[in-house]
Amino acid sequence: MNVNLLAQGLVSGFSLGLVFALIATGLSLIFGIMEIVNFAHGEFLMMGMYTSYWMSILWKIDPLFSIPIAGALMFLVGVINHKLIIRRIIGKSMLSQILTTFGLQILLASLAQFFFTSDYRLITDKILDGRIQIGSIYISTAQVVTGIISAILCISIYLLMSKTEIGKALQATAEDRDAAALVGIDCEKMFSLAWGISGACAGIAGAALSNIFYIYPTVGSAFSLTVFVAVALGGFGSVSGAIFGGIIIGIVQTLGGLIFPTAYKMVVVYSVYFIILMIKPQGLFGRY
Amino acid sequence: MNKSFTELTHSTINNNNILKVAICVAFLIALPVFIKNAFLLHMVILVFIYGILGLSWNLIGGYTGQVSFMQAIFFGIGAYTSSVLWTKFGVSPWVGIFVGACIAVIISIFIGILVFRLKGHYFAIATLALGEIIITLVRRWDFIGGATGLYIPMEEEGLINFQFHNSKIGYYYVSFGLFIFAVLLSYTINNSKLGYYFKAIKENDVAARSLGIDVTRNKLFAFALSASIAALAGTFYAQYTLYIDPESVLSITISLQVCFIVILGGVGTITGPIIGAAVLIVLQQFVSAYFGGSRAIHLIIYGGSIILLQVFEPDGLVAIYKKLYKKVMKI
Repeated sequence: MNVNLLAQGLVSGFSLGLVFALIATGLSLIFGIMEIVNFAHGEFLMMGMYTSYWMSILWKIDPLFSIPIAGALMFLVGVINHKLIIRRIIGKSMLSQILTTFGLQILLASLAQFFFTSDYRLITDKILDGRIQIGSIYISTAQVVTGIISAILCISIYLLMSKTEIGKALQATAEDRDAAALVGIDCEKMFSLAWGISGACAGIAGAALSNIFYIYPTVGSAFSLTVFVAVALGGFGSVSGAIFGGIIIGIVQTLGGLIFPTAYKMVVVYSVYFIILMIKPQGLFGRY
Repeated sequence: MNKSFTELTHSTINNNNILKVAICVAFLIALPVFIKNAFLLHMVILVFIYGILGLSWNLIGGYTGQVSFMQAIFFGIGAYTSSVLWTKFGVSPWVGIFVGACIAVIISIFIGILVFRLKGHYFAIATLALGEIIITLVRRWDFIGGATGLYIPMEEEGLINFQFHNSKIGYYYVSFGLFIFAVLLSYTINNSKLGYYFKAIKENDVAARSLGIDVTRNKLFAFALSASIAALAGTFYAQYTLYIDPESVLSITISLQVCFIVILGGVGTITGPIIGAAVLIVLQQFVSAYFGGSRAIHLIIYGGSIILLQVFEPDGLVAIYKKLYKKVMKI
């Protein structure tokens, strides 16, 4: 365990963390606006990955260019999810809402298995091949580009939320639904928009990650719990919290995998999560 | 005026339905006499096991409102404790079942002290994470079998050894006994002061605290009770299948299924978890038999029905039954 390895881990972890941040932002947005934890968020990620894969196989579209396509597609899926399902469970108990999104998770993952079989797939023919060397640190081109794209999107969403009219409308809806409606904000539209953005975040992250990871129906679960932990760490409802949470968890996971036996990697992640939760139960930037 | 949770869940068994309950119990006692089919008996035993698990989760998730997703962990603690004590130390499973429940209680209190300061979604996710931590650690713990699991060697058939081979009747009555115990415990708590404390915590824990209820202590109590009952089911399962591994007794799938059973039937009621277990297990076995396989159609149906149920009737089957009953009575 030397300085080089540590630096390598930090860089890798930071890049992974940026992608986690993007996924976590989508999740946190939904919770901030309607206090629903979307346990199917990982499945939106999975759908983004498959979109990228099939674009590559069927129409020879490089995974890099699938990113906006996956984003647009998953935006639509998010909106449809809201209009078909989420809209009808808004007033119900937390247990009900949690179970609905869990049910959606099971449904989406098994639909993927039904249509695409459980074969592991990998995109091999891609622009983002090879690696870059900075000093003694190696990082794959895919990791760099995905990190940059995720960072740009996270910052964009943060700016959207804090500087634009629409962002303020979203925040208003999150803070007090009735008051927002009183000043003329169409809350239903805001909810749909939030779900769309959330889906797009997961879809784009998925398309980006398809350059690096294997794609299979249950890949969502592999990321799910980690991302929930990142959001809870940052504090539910806070976009900046989700970004920080994602980056921290990405670094902890990568360094944890280097320092401890790889099998215990997630134990390290969850333990760090617990320690921070014990000190600050509502997360680092949490409102609730 | 809307009825509060406490009012809705009070006294599900009273003088009116004592007769109905007695008939059900008599029917269940007599069942193995006229049903000999091993698959059907197996299904009823599974219903008992999941009924016990559902009732155990109901104590913490239903009455006290703390939505935990780690019920399988306590199930697994029961299974592993009695199995390790038997295979490594020769301790009888009848002692093991008691020790298993005790260890489940101790661990639940330890975990509870850590996580009960968290509320709502934070608590739910914390239990998910804890479940993952524990199953990962058990997979690497070779002394108790690791990922390969534990085989419980076949012994001579009989109650003493807690194993039966020629027919399922022995297992049927043991699981039925544990099931009745869980039902009686739930009923006693439902109508007792302790039960009111639990429900008060669910409805409004701040108000409960201001009335002098020690919220943390009662949450721990509910958690411990819930863990001990789940552990009993775990030991039974281990002796029933004679093989346990992390996937079969500790996985989140089991925890989720337990939650779904309770909510399918009706959260916070006693008949709810029972009906939920019966409906779910029966449906699952038949759907798996016809549609199961690598294309996961049974999971598509499972996920879809969870969504449909929450969208259209989140109060579960018991609520549907009551509504239909009212409609029929008006005619």
